[in-house]
Amino acid sequence: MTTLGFMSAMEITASGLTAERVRMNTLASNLANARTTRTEEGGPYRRTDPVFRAVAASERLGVGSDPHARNVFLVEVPEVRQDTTPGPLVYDPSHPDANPEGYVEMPNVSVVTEMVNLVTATRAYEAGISMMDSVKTMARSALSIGS
Amino acid sequence: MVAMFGSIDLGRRTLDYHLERHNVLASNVANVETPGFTPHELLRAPEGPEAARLRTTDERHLGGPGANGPTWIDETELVVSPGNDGNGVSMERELSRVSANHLRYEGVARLVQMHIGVLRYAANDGQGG
Repeated sequence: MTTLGFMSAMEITASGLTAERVRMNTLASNLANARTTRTEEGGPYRRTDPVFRAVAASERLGVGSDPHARNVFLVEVPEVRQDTTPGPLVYDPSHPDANPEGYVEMPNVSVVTEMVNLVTATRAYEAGISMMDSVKTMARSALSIGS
Repeated sequence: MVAMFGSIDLGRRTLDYHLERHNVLASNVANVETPGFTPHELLRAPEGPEAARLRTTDERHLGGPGANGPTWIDETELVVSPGNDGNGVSMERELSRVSANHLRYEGVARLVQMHIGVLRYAANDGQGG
């Protein structure tokens, strides 16, 4: 019978860390392309946001026999969604991507929003790291029983 | 025999409980930014409620599963003020619970270890304790 243990606690924490890292990658991409006006799909860069979803641990870790596993959830990033709100129009007739009226559509990236998200992502990542440390120390003290 | 290993078994069940609770807390921390997520908690009911035990008429009788059956209660937490995305996890609350749960686990582990040490001391006729 597989139950919730140290390994499952580590897997759950790792899923949170992975999700936050995906978020940091999308934030880095948004910040890097804050002024990109030309993309492969045409038009300016559009900011992206990861979608977080809670998945029951019994589905992923094979701990279905544990009655408490139904209240334990991993986090997954099923998709990274594009934000389709139009970006601001800037008047710059000399810009190569300007429209006939002389306006350039800039990316819909707000540097302030991205920085705020970066701070919360960092905090959530740090929380995951201290969780992982706690699980590891607990596992070590369990191993020292009887020694 | 029960008297000899009883407290080790009680310690084992307590360690199991704290480890399961750590999983629930890890799930809360991992989902700190999942929209609409409600945090969970694992509570422990008092050990072996008298009502759940089988009545015994001799001290060698076993109390039945009620004596040490599942005494953990899953609970969905009541969220007073979820964020704009419906997430009810408070990182500070979860991390302080993680620390407290961790300390309890370490304390009980130390207790079990000491108990085993005492048994070893007795088993060695009081030599080399």
